[in-house]
Amino acid sequence: MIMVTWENYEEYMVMYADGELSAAEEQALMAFLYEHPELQSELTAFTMTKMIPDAAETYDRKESLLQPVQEKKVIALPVWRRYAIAAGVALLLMAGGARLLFTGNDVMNSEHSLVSNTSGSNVTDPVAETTVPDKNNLAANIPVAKNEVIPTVPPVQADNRKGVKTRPVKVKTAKPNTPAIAQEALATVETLPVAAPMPITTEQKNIAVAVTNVPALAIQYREDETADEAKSFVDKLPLAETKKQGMKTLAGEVATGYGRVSSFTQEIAHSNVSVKISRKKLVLSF
Amino acid sequence: MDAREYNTCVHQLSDALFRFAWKCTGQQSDAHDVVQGSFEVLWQKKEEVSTAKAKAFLFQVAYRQSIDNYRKRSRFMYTDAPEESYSPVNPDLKKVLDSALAQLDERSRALVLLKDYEGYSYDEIGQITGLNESQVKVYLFRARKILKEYLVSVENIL
Repeated sequence: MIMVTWENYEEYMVMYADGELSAAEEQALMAFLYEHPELQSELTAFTMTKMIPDAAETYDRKESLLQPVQEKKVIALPVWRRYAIAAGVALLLMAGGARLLFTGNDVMNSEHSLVSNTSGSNVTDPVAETTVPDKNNLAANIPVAKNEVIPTVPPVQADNRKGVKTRPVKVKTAKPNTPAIAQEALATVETLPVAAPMPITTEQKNIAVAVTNVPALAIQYREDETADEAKSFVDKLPLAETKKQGMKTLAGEVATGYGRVSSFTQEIAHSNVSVKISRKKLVLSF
Repeated sequence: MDAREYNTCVHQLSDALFRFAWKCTGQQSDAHDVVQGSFEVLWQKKEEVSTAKAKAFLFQVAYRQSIDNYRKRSRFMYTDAPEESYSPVNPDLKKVLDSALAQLDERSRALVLLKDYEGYSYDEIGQITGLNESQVKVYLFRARKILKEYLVSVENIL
C-alpha cells in the first residue's frame, strides 16, 4: 500500500521530478496533492530544479582525441577511365575466347595427328588405311591416271565398285612418303581397266579428268590436316605467310593479356580486395 | 572497440562529457583535462569496453576524475557561481541554475547532472558512481531540496 504523507511527500515530489515514480506511486502523489492543493507550487519548484544542458557548450578539441584509423584505400577514377577499363576487360575476355578458338583447333589437330600416327605406325586400321593416302603419291599418280588409266576406265567407276563413292583413287595402304606404296597404288589403278573394260567417249573422258582432280584436292586437304600436328586455324587460311605470321603474333599477345587478366582475377578472388562500380566512380577497396 | 568506433565515440560523446565535467569541476580547463583523461582511459581499455558501454564507461571515469580533480583544488573554486552572475538585473534562467548547482557538493552535483543532462536512472547512476540505488536516491533528494530552496529564494529576491 503506497502512502504519501506529510513526512514523505517531498521524497515523492523529487522522484516525480526525476521521473522515477511508478504509475501507482504517481497516482498516490496526485491524490495527496488533490487533498492538499497548497503543495502544488512546491511540486512545481522541484520540477524547476532540472538542469538544462546548453548545446552551445561543445568540446572544441575533438581532433586531439582522435586516433589514427587505417582507412581503406579508395581509388576514384574518372568516368572515362572507368569505361576504358571496362572496355579493356571486355576486349581481353573476347581475346580469351579467340584464344580458346585457336586452342580448340590445336586440340582437333592433335586428334587428327593421333589418327595419322596410328596409320603411320602400321597398325591395321582399315579406316586409316583406306582414307589417308599419301600426298606425293597422289601428286605423282594423277597425271598418270589422266594419261594412261582414264582412256580405259574412269576411277569413279572403280570406286563405286568398291562402295566408296567419294574416293576415285583407291589406295590399299597409305604409308606416307613411301615410294613402294606409291608404286603399289599406281599398280592398283593401272589394273582397274583390266577388271572393267569399257568404251569411253570424249565427254566421259573430260568428266573423268574433272572427277579425278577434285577428289585429289580434297584428299590433299585432309592430308594437310593430319600431316602437320602444329598447324592451327591460321595456317589453313588462304593468306600470305606474312599476314599469317602477324595474326599469330597478335594472337600470342592477346593470349598473354588474357593470362594476365586471369591471374589478376584469381588474385582478386583470393584477396580481400573488392571492386565496386558506383555511379561515377570505380572503387577498389583493399 | 576499434579505432573507428572509438573515434565515433569522440564525435558523439565528447560534447556531453565536456559539459558534465565542466559543471562538475566548475572550471573549463579542468573539464578539458577530464575529457582528455577519460578518452585516454577509454582508448587504453578499448579491447574490454564495447561501443554500447562506452558512454557509461566514459562518464564513470569522468565522474571519478571530476571528483578527484575538484577535491585536489579549493572547495570554493567553482567559478561558475559568481555572486554577480545572478544579478536581479539579469535573471537569466541558465545562470540561476548554474548558481544553484554551485551550491551543491561535487558528488551531488555530479548526480544531478547525470540525471538531468544524460537522463540516467537511479540504478544507472548508481552503477556509474559506485553508489547503491538508495544512496543515489538520498543524495538526489538532498540536492533537489537545496536547489529548490535556492530557486525559491532567488525568486523571492526577484
